[in-house]
Amino acid sequence: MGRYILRRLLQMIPVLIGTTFLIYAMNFALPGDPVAALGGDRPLPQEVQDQIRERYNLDDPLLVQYAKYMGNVVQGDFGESLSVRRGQDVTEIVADTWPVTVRLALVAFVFEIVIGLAAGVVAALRRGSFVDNLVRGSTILLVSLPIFVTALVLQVAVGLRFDWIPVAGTQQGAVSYLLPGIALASVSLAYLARLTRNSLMENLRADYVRTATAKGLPRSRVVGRHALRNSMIPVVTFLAFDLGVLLSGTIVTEGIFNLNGIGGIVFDAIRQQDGTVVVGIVTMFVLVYLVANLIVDVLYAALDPRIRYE
Amino acid sequence: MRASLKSPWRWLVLLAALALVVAACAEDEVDEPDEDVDVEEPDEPDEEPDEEPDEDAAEPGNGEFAMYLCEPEQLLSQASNEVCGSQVLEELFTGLVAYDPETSEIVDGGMASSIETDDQLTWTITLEEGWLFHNGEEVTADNYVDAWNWMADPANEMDNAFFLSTAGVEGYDAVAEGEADELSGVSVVDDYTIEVTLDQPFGPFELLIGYTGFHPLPDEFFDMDPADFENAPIGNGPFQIDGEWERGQQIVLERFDDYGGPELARAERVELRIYDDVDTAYLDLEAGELDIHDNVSPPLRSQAFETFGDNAFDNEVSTFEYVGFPVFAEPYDDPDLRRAISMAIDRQSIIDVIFDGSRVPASSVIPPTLPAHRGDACEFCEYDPDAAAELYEQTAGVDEPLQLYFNSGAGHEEWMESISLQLEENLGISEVEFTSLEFAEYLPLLQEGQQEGPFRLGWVTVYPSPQYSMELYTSGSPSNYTQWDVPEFDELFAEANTLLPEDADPVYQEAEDVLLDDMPIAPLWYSVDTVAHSDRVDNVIANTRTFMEISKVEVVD
Amino acid sequence: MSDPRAGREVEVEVDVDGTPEAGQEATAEGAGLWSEAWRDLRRNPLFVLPVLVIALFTVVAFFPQWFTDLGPRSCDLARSADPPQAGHWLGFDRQGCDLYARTVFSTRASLLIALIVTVSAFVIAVILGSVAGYVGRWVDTLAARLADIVFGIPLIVGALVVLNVVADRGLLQVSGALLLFTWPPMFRLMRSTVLSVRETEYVQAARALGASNLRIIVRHVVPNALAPVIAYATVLMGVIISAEATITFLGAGLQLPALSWGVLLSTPPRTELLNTPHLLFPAVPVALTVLSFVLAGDALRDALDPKLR
Repeated sequence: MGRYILRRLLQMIPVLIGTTFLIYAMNFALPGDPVAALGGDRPLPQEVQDQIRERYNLDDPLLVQYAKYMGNVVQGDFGESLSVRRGQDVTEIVADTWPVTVRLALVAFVFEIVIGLAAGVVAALRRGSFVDNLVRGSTILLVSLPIFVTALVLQVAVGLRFDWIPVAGTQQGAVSYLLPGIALASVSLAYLARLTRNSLMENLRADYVRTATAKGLPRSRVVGRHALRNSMIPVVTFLAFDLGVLLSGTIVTEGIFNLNGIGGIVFDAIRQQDGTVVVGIVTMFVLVYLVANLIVDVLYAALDPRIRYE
Repeated sequence: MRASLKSPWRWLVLLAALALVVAACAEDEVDEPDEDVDVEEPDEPDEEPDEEPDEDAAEPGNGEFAMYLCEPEQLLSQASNEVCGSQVLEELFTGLVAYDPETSEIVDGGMASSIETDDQLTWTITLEEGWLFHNGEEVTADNYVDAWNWMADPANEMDNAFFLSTAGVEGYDAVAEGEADELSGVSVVDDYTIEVTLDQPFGPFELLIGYTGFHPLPDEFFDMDPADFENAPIGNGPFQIDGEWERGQQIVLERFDDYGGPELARAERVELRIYDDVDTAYLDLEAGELDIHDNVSPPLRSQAFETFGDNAFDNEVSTFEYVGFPVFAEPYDDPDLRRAISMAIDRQSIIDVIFDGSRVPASSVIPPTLPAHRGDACEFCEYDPDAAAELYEQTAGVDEPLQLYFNSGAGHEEWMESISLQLEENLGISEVEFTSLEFAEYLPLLQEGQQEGPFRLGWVTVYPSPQYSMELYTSGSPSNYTQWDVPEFDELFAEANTLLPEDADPVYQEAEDVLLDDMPIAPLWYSVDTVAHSDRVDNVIANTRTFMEISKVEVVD
Repeated sequence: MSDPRAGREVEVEVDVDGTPEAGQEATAEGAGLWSEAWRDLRRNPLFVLPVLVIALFTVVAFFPQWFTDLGPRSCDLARSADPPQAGHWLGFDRQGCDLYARTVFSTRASLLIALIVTVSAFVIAVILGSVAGYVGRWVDTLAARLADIVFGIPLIVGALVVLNVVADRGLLQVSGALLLFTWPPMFRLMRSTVLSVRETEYVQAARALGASNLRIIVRHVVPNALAPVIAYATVLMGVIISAEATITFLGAGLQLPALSWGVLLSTPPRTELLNTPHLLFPAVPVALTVLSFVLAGDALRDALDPKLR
């Protein structure tokens, strides 16, 4: 097992390098001059611009820039923001903003898991019933609504109506994460419910369940111990993958709900071509996604005794 | 690993619990405003050494209040080029000159006791004695000169070095190019006298040096990492920072009792609460959590006037928006085409509908915040669809589709769409296309002259001189993206620049006439900031440079 | 944002439920599968209804003038954001244009982008996927790694970065940016299906008879591996419609005066949206088309999946 994890970790390296390079190239090789825009309507003195370009290696060829960047990254230096928070270390910016984003993502993740799983399981167990149809209908509707629409609708329909639910901002503490969390989770939640339902239904039809039932095991035990457990494999895979999706979804949600987190920063950074910040944060997103997938593969072993890794 | 994960539910439960804990933490972190700050003994200011307080100046009070603030980018005067940071720096520091909040003219209150020149080329600045920095150091000529030299050094990447070159301070180019360490044109005559020599006569110099970028720096600064200094800047202003800049949260100011200016701050303590969102701040204002909000968003403007009555007002500021024409290329080299387009734009309806009344139509390029402003300077800014259509008929017309340029992500789409609809309607143009880019790419595009149609830009007059409002239309200016080049304008402008403000204004106006007749740009509108405040505070004054005069605010209860 | 998830869902079921066998059965009777599926689908309301909706929107896209007398640019600022009323049953947008007319004229761009992206992604997936899956070795490794790398970058982030610096953001530019980050899931799906088809008896037989690789791929492998990819492509149409709206909402998609549903939703300031919720209406056609494509795709997948027969 240890060996397997090590091999997977090693395999991550080329993917990570490729991803960072792609993002880096997109940011630095594309046209545009972030330095020229620093002064707003009034340009910075040429000498100041030159100094900044030199410090950020913007005059080097792309590959040299990238090599220098990665060299620093390996030493734990992710560089400085060029425009979003000029002069501040990327690590510092992330340290500043991640609590909001992690809270948001976790609230969304909890919604997704609790509601999505419950709805999926109930629908599968009561196949064809009213509840099942309700779950299928509402999830397909949620899937069809882009997150930003769901968010706006929630603001209008819920936020404006109830005083204790803030429309935007984090000033009111934990409640502030309620609407953004639901909005962010909406599409994922719907997919998860559908996936859980399908997966569980398939397992309920499987031979081993029939056998177990025939042997006289109580249905709750059959479902709980066997069917449910086996149907968790695709569900867990999906969840791992979805963590990354939720993170990138914060770009939309944080903007609409005015939360001051990583999503908002990365959005501003993209717009202002603040390459170091974009590369740093997107790399982090990718890393979360890769690690989550690794953990899932390891979990397979725990969930499915048939799978053994060498 | 397997043992601990017998049931898939277990880790889900764990996760749920974790999320709840995290969410709960979020709740703890919300900063309740400190309700019970110890009110210290009413600390009557010591007798002021140099100045008797004005007869009508209110006694410094004891209260505290909370005001809205947007998150500053920096808290260093030499770097700050945005309003959020500058608002704070204006209170932490006092520059050489002070401006009247309504007329922008120079008034008592700055650190200079006199600024003298015979030829607008050599300037002698005499400082008042006895001013202190918040750390107790005395403010002397060195603190200014060192700050300017430090700002000029390109290694420090200070945005406001721009203004040293605007003024043409002798030796700036040499420092910028790394050939010299210090500005040869700036010298310390004695502890309270600075002499500045310029490359050429520059009349607005005395108006310029009141700008944020020319603030002094204490000796202590030069031994520190600037980033540390920014956490708790040490200034010479009416307020000092209490604690540190709590990023994303607040900046607390407390009265500096040894302030060297004519009047101490009237409130004892001010919490500048940092909001990401102006509308959230407005809700707090309505809820009584906040006392002053100086940036009520346009959609909430009418509501603010209803709710706060006399405690709400509009503050006209110099922020100016215009569309420039690429006069270097056909068909925009024809002034009549430019005039027709300008007259076909119904500025007032766009302001009423799209901006909820939060702009005033522009009929000049010298903003209404300056004494030299004239409300009727522009003949072709008046909406007149018939005259526009008639004039347009006589021109070659634009190449269709008409290309309109603006920077994206800043909310310009809507009014640009309104303008394009009006041009279609009034001039019979049948097809329009937008090109919108982020600033980082928009400016280079304009610099390279790739615009093939009218383009949007804005301008803020940061120090109150028409020189700054109009410099960007001169043929040599790096910000002249129209590439308009009319010697008559350049000459008048250059002449005005050599004169002292009172003599210069008529000449600037003459130059403005030339500009507005030939119309390399079509002025659109000036901004209005809507301010609203609670009953707890009084004497809430917004100045022409978009800042609240925090030190003048009185707490009533 | 919903993008790769849809792909993953399909993929999950292919990969994890041990579907390799599924493909094998499929190959046995290529044509039979399609005609049987068609017989099922014709009678499935969850397929027929969505297809009718899609057909309706397609007509709207091509002939918007059949559905409204008003042009998309007959506007009057004086009627800005006026609520729905007789003759203008969706009210007016902020420019004082009839919102219904604007929505109708927005259909074409929204559908076209989805179509361009989906068709291109489909072509890439089929060619790259079948070559990688069938030839294997370094071609496969290279393509799979490339897909891994691109797959790791969230669609929204990637498309934003690319479109941020494009000046003339028209249909093609927006489609191109979306395509860059949406092909991997479909490619993976195609590849894994080809992998399973490759091992089937009759492909082995064709190989034994000396058929060339190209011939085997074109004649045998691709036709038999297409079913799940087509089902996925249908779902992808919906995903792209939603993604276009989102990208535009974030300010990096199509730009006015060009119209799309995303453009209509993105222009009003958010605080104004709260006051005049009728401006949210263009979200309805977005939801309706996405819903239809997802439903139709699901129905297709079920019908084409022999395991469920």
